[in-house]
Amino acid sequence: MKKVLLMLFSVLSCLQMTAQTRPVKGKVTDSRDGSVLLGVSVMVKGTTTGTTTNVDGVYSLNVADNATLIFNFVGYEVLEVPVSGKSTVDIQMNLDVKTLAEFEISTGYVSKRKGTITGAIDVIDGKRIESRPSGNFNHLLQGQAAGVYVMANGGRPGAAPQIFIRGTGSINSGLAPLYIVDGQPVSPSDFATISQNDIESFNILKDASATAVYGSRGANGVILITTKRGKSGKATLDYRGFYGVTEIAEPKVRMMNTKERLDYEVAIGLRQANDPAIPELLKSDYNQVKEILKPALAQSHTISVRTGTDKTSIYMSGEYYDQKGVYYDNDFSRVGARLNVDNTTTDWLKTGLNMYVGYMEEALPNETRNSTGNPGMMAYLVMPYENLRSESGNWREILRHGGYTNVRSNLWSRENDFTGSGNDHLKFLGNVFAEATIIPDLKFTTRYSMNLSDYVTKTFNQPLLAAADNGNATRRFSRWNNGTWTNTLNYRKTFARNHSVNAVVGSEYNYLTDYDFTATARNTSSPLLQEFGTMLNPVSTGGSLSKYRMFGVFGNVNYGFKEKYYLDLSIRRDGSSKFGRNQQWGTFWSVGALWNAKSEPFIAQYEWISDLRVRSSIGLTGNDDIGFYPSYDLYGGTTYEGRPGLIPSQAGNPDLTWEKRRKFNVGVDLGIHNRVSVTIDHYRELTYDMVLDAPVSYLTGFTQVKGNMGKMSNNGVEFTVKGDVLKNRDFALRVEGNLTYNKNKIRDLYGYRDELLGSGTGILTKVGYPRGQFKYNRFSRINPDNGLELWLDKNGKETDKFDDADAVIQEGKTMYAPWYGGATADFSWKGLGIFMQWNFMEGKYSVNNTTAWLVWNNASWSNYNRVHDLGEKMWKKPGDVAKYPKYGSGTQFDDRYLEDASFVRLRELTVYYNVPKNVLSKVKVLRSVRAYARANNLLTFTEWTGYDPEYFNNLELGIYPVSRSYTFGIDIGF
Amino acid sequence: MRIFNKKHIIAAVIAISAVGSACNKQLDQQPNGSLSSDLVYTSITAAESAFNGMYSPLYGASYYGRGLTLIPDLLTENLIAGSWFSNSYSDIVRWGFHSGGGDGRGVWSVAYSALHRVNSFLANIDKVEPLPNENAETVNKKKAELKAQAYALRALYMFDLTRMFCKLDLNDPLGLPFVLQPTVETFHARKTVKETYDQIESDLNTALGSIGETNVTRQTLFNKYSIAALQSRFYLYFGKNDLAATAADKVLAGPFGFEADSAAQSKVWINDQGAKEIILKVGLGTTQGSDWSAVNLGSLFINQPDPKFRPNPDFIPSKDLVNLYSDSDLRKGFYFYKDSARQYKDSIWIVKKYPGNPAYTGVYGANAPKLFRYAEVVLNKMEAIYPTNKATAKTLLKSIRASRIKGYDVTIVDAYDDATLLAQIRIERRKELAVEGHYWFDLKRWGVGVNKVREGAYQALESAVGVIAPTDYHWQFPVPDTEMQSNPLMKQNTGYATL
Repeated sequence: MKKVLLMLFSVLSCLQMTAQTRPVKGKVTDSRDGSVLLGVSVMVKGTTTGTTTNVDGVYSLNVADNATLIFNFVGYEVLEVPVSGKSTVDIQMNLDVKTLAEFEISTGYVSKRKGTITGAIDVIDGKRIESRPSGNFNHLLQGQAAGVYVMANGGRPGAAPQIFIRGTGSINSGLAPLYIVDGQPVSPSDFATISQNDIESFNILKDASATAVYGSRGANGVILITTKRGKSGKATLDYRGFYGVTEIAEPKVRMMNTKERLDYEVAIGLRQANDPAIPELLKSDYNQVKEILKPALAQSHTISVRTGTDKTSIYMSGEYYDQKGVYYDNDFSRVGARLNVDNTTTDWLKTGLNMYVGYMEEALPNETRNSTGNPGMMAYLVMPYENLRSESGNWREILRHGGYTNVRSNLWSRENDFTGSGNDHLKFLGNVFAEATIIPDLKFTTRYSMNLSDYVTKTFNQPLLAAADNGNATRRFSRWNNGTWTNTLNYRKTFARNHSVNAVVGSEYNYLTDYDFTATARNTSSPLLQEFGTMLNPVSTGGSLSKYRMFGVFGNVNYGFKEKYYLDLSIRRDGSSKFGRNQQWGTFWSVGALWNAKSEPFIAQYEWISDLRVRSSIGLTGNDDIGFYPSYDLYGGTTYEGRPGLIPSQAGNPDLTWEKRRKFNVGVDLGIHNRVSVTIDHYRELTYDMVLDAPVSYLTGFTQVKGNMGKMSNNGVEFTVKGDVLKNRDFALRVEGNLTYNKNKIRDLYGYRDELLGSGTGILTKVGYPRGQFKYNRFSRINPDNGLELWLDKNGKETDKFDDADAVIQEGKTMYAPWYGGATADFSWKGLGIFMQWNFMEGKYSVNNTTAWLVWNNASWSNYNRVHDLGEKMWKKPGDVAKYPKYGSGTQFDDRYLEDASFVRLRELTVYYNVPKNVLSKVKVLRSVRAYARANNLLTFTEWTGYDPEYFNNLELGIYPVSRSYTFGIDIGF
Repeated sequence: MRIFNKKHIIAAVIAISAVGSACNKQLDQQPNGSLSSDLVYTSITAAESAFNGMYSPLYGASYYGRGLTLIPDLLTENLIAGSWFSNSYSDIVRWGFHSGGGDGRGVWSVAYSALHRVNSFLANIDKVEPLPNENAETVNKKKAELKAQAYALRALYMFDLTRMFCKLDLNDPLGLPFVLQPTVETFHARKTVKETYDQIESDLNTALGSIGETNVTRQTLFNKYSIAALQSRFYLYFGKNDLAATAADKVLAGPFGFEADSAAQSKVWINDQGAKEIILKVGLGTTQGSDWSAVNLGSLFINQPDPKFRPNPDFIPSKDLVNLYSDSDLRKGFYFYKDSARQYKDSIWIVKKYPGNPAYTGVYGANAPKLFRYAEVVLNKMEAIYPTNKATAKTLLKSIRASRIKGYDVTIVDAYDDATLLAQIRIERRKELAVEGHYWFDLKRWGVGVNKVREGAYQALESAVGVIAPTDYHWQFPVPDTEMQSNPLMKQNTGYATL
């Protein structure tokens, strides 16, 4: 880039003025979004005369009438335009797909030209997650790239989603990809503390060729996140801000209204038909979902500055983000600041730093899942005739009806601060680096990074709610200290025109120390005081310390022949403190190959093919995400006669080692007319030597021992298409879409046993079936004779006896969607545009335990509001063909509650307006103004009957639902 | 651009490799919340902690704390479930235990993990060296004392498993699977009953041969008396009467006897104290811990912390049992009382053998399990000597009755013929050791079945299981499914479903 600028400057200085010329001026914009292009070279053909566009994209030149202008800008198609006597020549430039292949893409330890990469890498533009109301921006990656499975872990602002790449890669170990932000590893929960507006791009590394250089941490894929950097030239300042509301989508399931409820109560004998209270109760009829789950506000403000001289460039930003939750007493807020500096220190040395400090604070709601007290469950279960608010409009203290009779409303307790819990989280993320050019083409880079977190968890209860303790408080402090020192030598040269080499060798040391302590105290001096200093009695303390150390050496070489054939080899050797002494070191490798078919004459002749590359790779990666000390023989504490005792607490396995994932990939990139690009990948991944808790004979002294065993495969196809459907002076329509199919299959478990123990409710983990396979008893119908439930036994015969042994495998029903994807469309007309993103997941199932709580029809549950049609459709007399069993029936789990949680949703709909330059130019200080209105999760199509189908678990019970939001924002450039 | 010389390249390469060499030893990280096994046997003090860990299974809720003390009586005519019982031990109540059930698995898992602890201890204790400030002789003596007890504990745990899961028949092929070294191997076949028997016998002899006078006055650790008491029970179970009698004699020669006055006897049952009556009991801490709540067997029999209210027992003694005691029998007052249960208006008998030790405030119905009592050894001797020496058997029977029953006329015993004497010895054993985890094992070795009939409306229907023949397969508990599934060489006991 700098070279280009230098060249342009030199061109500028050579500018000649000639006599027979007339002025011509114009503006150069990007054909995709109309944004101005700065620094475009404008040359007069056949001369050395030329200029560059200024920050407004405007150029002016004196040229001859018959001159032809050549517009040249890196990454865009070169344009030749005859002036033909015009005085204004406005130009829209198109992206050059061919030169795009020349773009540098970071593959982690080294950058490579896109056209030389043998691996499967997706790039997501940081713009796609900017200014969206999400406390943890990783959730916004859903549907943005093929092969990336993103699923919310509940809807509390800031909750880290579950992400995995190319299927669930493990049974017992972690599924999360490795996240690297500016060269340093971070953990998924860290993203709640990082501002999303600082992100330049996400590079998603998927196959062996891309991930093997990360060795033991590469098995689940790698997500490289690059933050924005400064630019030399004119300083720019940007403000981005929005205000919005989030709310809950009305669930499909409807609870009884007052009339239905009273009829039901009479029908089951809970209330006399002539109960004098009925007329009074009928006066109140609340939709409690709307009463309890209120729309909540969100706002975000970011200011960022990009500036620089020819020696130093700086990016700095500050952010304030605040989002209330739809659950009562839930607030998430964050302030953060970033400074990224690049400095050319000497002619052979570049130095720089990236620094981020963030402070996140949250008030946590009552999220206890299997409780009638959490707001989501309460909204279902409170009687429709219960007025939750007192006459003054505040929450009522003591509820009066049903199962909540004489129960203190926790909405009231929280409103009045009688109880509460929260977190605050201080995050420092920083690294310094130096890059020395030893000889031309050989660079040594060293980078030291630190990732520090202080995390405080607080709870308190005032004496009113903790009478026995006379008030109590708990604090937990934990500190996470993760550092990485990376050294690399990079050699990059093209020999004799035909041979290109891009090689890197390096070493990496990674340490992690995690400690925490907790304390609980009670007996406060005053109900209003919650700090330890005012608590008279300590109750308990606790704490722990864990350490992890990892060291790796690695090498990667990318060799190209005639820009046609590329070979890419990686090797990495990692040592980890997690593994058994005999097996601490592991070696990982990959081989990738690329054929640039467009360079072959027989393809080049087809003009419509603007790009054609065929890639393939195979290799081995590892997963060490299995806790700190899984391999040790450990002793824990006990007592005998009050004397301290030691007992074996973990069976050691000195041979415990890396869980391995072998990856094979073959892919094609096709460009058509430089307008449409298509990428298809097929992958076959095999996880083996899985770290499983193998059930062992009690003679070993344990019931299970960790060992490397079992095999699981993930095979799939990824399809991505991006294209400019329409592109002219005023209209533009760009469409992108991706689709993934993943087939997971467990191939082997313990060898001597083909079913995993303890897989969770309704889940079967068995050889020959996919991970997350459901197994449940089959419900048949309600017996019309007696109103009792009938099931099918394992042979398909009806039975009135519920027996766990009758559970059958529910073919095709798993908790992980095998099909998923997303699509975006961006349509613009002049400055006005509309952007949509649709996501879908197909074949995802979940047990709706919440529904079970709503339909159970017996004395234990009738005190809570029931689903609206229970009274009408329950069995009442012999002969009734009923949907629900008779009153007084049991609470068995069966496939009635196994629901299809697949969904198609309009993740985002944005209407935006870019204020035209000619308007802006009147207000000198403004560079750009963009205003937008955005709705997230506006529409969701699903069979799921609860609040929201998106939840990463086999079982949904009282989960904080993912919400819908509406925001209005503005981006202003100065 | 300056051209760098080779030194710079070398410097860079060195920088990279220096990191490598510095880091290799960093990869050995020790956990901080628990202790790596190779650090346990580095001092005699740490080894003593591991030693205590071999004893701690004794109070486990599925071991003597509750299960192993309750189940043998609950299976027999001694105990019945009230019609209101809370469904605890329901498989036992119904004689419906199966390989997936938790009651047998509880004993199996506690005993085998305890055996692993013993094996680890024995494999490592010799590695312990005296620290610089320690006397080598003292340390070596201590090691020998601890080892002797480890052998005794191994015998105890193996014997408990054998009597529960195997036939008490030295010709039967289905003994225990066992190892004498810590193992990580998961495939283990069952050895024969004879091999199991030989190992227990050998461990007991080793223990007795090396225990010396260690712990001779302590009731919470194995000493020469409690080892001999275990030996007498072990031999008696396998019909080795001579050996049982010889072992019993070693105990009877000790400082034990029957407490004469009822105040001293009540201390045995309420306070778990009695130097004469108790040979070995489980050691519990002096402050509340998980051990206290594991031994709250009394809560199943009385289940009413507040004496203002009537008891709410799960299990009550059968009339069949209570009627064995005459009113002048002191034991009747210590073992039972009459009350009307909260759930049943008429008065019924309530078990009072575990009334709760007031020392364990805060945990209701907790008493230290008493593993060996003087009375049992007397009864062991009585039974062992009966075939060869009726006169001594009668003397012993008279001694126990004279001390338990006020004004007992010992001439009654003199009048017994041989068959009556045997029957009376057995009745006396049942009466003395009721609700202490003996009767089912006694019936098993005597080859006598069970007949539980419903004696009243207060009895849960399912606990009236009727006749269980002595040949029923349930006399051997099933090997737990979890063992069967992880150990393909394991053979299930006859009669139980195999998975």
